[in-house]
Amino acid sequence: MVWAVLRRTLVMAVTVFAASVVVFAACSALPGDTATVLLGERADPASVAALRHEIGTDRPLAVQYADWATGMLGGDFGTSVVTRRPVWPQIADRLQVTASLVVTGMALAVLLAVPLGVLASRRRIGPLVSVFGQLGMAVPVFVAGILLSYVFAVRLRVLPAGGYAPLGDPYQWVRHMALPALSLGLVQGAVLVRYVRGEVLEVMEKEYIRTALATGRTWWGALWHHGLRNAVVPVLTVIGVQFVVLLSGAVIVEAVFTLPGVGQMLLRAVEGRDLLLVQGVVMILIALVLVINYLVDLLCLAVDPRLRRPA
Amino acid sequence: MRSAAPRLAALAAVAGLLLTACSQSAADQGRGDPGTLLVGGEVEPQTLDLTVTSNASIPSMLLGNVYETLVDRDQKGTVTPGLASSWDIDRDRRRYVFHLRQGVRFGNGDPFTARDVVFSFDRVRAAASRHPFKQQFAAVSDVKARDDHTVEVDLKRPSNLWLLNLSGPVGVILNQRAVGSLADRPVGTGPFTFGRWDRGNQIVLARNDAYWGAKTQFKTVTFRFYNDPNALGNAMLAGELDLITNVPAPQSLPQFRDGGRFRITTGHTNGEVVLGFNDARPALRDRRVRQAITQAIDRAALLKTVWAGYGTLIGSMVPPTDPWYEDLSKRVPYDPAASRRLLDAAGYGGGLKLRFRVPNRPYATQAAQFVADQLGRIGVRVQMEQVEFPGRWLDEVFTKGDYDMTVIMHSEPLDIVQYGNPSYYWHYDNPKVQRELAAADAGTPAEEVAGMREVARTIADDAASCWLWLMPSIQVSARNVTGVPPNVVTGGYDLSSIRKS
Repeated sequence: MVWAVLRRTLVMAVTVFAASVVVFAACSALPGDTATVLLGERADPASVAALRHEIGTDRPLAVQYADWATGMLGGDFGTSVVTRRPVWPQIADRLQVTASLVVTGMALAVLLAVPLGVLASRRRIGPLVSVFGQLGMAVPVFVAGILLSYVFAVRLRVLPAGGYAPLGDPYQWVRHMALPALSLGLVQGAVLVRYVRGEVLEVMEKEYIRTALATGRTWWGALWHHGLRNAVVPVLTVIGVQFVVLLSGAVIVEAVFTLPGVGQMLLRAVEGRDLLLVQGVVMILIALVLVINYLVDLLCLAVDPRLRRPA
Repeated sequence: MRSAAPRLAALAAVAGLLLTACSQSAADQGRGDPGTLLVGGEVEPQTLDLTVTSNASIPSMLLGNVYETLVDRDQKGTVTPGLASSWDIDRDRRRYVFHLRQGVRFGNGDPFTARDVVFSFDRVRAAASRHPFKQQFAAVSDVKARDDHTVEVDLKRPSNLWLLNLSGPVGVILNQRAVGSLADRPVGTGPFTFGRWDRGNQIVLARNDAYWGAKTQFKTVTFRFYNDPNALGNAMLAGELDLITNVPAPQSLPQFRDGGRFRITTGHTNGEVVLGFNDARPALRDRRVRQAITQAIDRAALLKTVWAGYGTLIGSMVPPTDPWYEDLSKRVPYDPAASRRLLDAAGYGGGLKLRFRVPNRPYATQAAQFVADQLGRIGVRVQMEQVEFPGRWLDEVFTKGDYDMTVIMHSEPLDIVQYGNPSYYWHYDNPKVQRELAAADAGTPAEEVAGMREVARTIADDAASCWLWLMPSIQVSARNVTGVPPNVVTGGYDLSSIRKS
């Protein structure tokens, strides 16, 4: 167990380092720098050069990278040249919104997918659930968002068409989060349903289930006591992967419902060439994805003792 | 397990009912209140410091509302008094004496005096200044306070444009104690004070109860930000907004026509959509080629196709809100036969190949496709490429001049002066235009208007660019909102004439 955990931790650290190099290189390679975009069409070249010198983008790339990376090691993501504010608090502000969205979206998806997936493995309602699954897979997140917004905000006027209320006001938070989370949850849920159904079908064919049924368990009883725990490991892995998909879906949902999340901030930062902010956001997102996968790995280790043996 | 499903369903139903219970939701709060105005359509800036970036959305919200200038321009473009109640110009037009309004205070309580004007102007023209519009102060040689309420400005050469530009972002009067927080807490003398900024969401202005002029009916004005045109439209339809100041595309207008709930207001902006030529290329330095291209494009049809017919055909770099405007849209008319003859005469009858690098903005890409198609008919082969805007476009097209043709909206007021600047990205170098611009800038008001009219005609005849159309201002307001200013003149969205019942 200890070795397995250690190995996964080391892999994560190396990945973060490699990612930082790639992110920095990609941002530096972008045509058009902060100074040009910030000062705009009327600026004279001397001003642009002076600004470049002030923010240090005229230094060698290796120096800039070292500066940025060592700062991050100490938890300092730098200060945005455009907003004149430190990068980390800006990201933290927005992360609250995106995290709310992704977590509630995923929760809805799981709440929807697990019962439906189990039901779908029963012959009678299976086809009905499959239709939902197919529909959900076919409909892009933004279409779901636009439809929900049109029905509930424009036509029925029962929920806001957009905007965000902080967690401090739970009632408003739920109202503003309902449609965005539902857009994500419905689409993600549809994807998950198929996996849950597949896993349940496979597990219920196993010998130990046959034995359980032979000892007089009902189908549901066998599933509950013996099947689910085995079916859950692959589903957990898929949920881990889907979290990443959900993050990118969140960028779109944020635009449709004008949520001030990380995704929208990232788009604007790229547009304004606020490179330190771009790099900071991307690093945080990468770290998040890695941490989620890491946690899923650990969770799988906890659920399934067979995985703890060295490969 | 068997009974869990119905129970869950019931729970979900109850939760749903609770969520949607009060249909007069918080989203609607403020819509019925005549003391608040909810505005959509502005783009969220990343900073509120309009002295470090030329981002047009900052002055749009702050200029005239939070910040004021010595002189203003009204909806017709005429110069009117602002923080200066009057001004004198001496005979050689090089010395301006401004008489300032008395009893004016900044939003933070500080009195407004001549020292603030000197401070603000010196801040623009300082040697170390990186003000994006520093060039507009190039003519100024000295600024001094004669007394608390009189400012004297000396110019190196007479300049009418300098005075006109004072009504724009370069002329805002800053508070000395507040310049440290320009990025997130602007302070000015205007009818509103800055309230708060919920980043990613909205900016709230509050009424300045100590304002020297007519007080506004609105206790607060909220600018809400939408990155998605659809979301903006939905918010208006859902009753969460009083006003959209800037409808992103006219194609979305039909949804606001039904039921008499909304009013649509159209007007002019300063945004000339320019098909720009790179005169550093020998083919495009030839006037006949530029003219051939201009005559090959049916601009009336283009406007109908691309912008649903909204907007104005201009034919030169002058919007109707400039004092020297005249209709030049038919001066170089659509005439494909003449176009082919010109191309032949210039020696490109056998074909001409052009790199058309277009910013990835809907108006530009759609217009470019139309242009490429029409140029194909006179035998010009156009290689079109979309370029990310602003970053890549500014770097490669604008700064490095790596293009033959491009399309971009020039939204800055009075930007016709760029035709006198050979190092601008068009590389348009015509001594006649440069002379005419200088003469108009130095002349009396009558000479100025006549001179600028000359400039506008000269660049039109020379096909310096092809002016596709002037971007319209399209606004949608709720029925109970009146007095929206139809035109964009200085770059500020002036809230003072708006009423809500």
